[in-house]
Amino acid sequence: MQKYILRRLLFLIPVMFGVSLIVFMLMHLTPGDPVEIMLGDFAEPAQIEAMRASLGLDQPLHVQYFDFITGALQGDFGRSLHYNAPVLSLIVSRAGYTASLSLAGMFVSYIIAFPVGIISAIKRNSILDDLGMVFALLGISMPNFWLGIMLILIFPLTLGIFPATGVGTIWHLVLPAITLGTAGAALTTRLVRSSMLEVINKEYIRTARSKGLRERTVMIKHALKNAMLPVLTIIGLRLGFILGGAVIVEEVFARPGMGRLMINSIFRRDYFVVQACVLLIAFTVMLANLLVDIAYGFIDPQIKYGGGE
Amino acid sequence: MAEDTAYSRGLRQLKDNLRVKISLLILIMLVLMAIFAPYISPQDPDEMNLGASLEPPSSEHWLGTDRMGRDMLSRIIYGTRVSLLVGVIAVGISGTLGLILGTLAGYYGGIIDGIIMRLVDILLAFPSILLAISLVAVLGPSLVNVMFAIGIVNWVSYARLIRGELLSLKEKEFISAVRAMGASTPRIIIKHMLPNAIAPIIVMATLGMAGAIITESSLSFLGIGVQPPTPSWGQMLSEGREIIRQAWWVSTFPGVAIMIVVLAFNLLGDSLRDALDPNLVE
Repeated sequence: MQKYILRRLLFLIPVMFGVSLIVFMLMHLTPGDPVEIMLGDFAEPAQIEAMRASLGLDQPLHVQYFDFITGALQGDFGRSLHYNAPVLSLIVSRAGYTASLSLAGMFVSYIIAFPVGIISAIKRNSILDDLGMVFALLGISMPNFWLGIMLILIFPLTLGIFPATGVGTIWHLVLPAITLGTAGAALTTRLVRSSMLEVINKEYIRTARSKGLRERTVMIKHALKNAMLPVLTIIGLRLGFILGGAVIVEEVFARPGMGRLMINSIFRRDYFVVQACVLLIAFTVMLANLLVDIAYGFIDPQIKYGGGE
Repeated sequence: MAEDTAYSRGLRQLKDNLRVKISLLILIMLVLMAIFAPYISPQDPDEMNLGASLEPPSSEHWLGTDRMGRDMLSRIIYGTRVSLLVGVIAVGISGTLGLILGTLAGYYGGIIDGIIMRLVDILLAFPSILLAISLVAVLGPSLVNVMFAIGIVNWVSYARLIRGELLSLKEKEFISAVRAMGASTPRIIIKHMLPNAIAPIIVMATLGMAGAIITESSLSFLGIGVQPPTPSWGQMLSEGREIIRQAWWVSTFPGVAIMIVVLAFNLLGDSLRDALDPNLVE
């Protein structure tokens, strides 16, 4: 197990290297000189040159990349051209909003997905199952930004409940979390249903039933526990999906999180900020996947690590 | 071949499948709408009429008008063109890239496989919408760049799928037999291996259309996708967001349009999956 964790951690290094290289190249291929944009149309060429030199932008690309990567390893992502502040502090001050939204979104998606998925599986081919699957299909097919706008239209604007935009109280989190969680809920509902269905037909469930156990005990203690595994494996993958969605949901509800910072920085060509946001999000996703893989080993003793692929 | 009978059984099931019929019907109607947009639209989608700004739905303007007084229904009809085009081209790009790279990785293995799969690992670390946003930021916002960015971002899943299929097929006896008969490598791949992997690819491509259309509308919503005055549903929705207090219809109807298209592709993809490839899970 320890060997496996170590191997996975070592494996992260080349992937992280590739991720950082892609992020760096993307931002440096971006047209438009950020310094010229920052200094405006009336800047003297000498002024621009001096600024470029002070930011290290006059160096060859590989030197800039090396600076970027050594800086990033020490938590130094450079300075924002727009805010004239360290990128890391900008991100830290906003990461909380993105993290709380993502967690709340995940919470919403699981709290819907489990009951709906389980009931759909147990009452297979009933009206309840059909309704559950229609919900799942709608949830997957709805663009989240549209759902957000519709929720704003219905709740704050028409019924006068929940704040429409901004942050501050827990109530500010309700509509964004529902917006973000719905698509995830739909996907997870299907997964819970299909893995429950698979388990329900297994022999040990029949055995449990024939022992005379109550149906509820059979379902919760025997079926659900085993149906959880595939649902757990995708939590890591879901995090990437949720973080991507958060970028858009923050825009809809004007939440000052990382996603909004990133989108605004793209428009401002503030590419040290964009670079750092993308890199940190990718890193979080990879780390989450690693943790899930490790957790998997604790939950399912059948899985042996080490040896072979 | 055993696979053939499984496929024909699947195809027979498809013909009687209600969900397939419904989704195909919706999609055919949408395609016709896109093609014949100039004939069905009640008005010119770009014709401004500031005197008729933000009129609610009425018998004259079924879905109301936007801030410029343009007819929403006509703009939504024309918007079908953008969405379907993005779906088809983006999936075409990712499918082709995935097919080439997945085949190289799965058939040749070794160092080629190693390099391609490491690239796959790297790209999988990015939430795909994030990568699409960054790519469009680099390329500049336009319809062509949006299609290209979405296509580039999504090849990974096709490559993984095709690689997996080829890896398992490689060990099959009939492939050894064909090889022993002296068939060339391209012939083995194209005539004997890929046809056996086609079902999951079709399923993935159908669901991929739905994903590509949602991504395009998200990018356009954020202002980095299709640029005005081209009517794109995402961008119409974003315009409507600012005036939602005065005019709910401007952001409501484009969203309904997106949902109908995406729903039809998802429904078709799901039914195809159930019929052609019962083992394929998420």
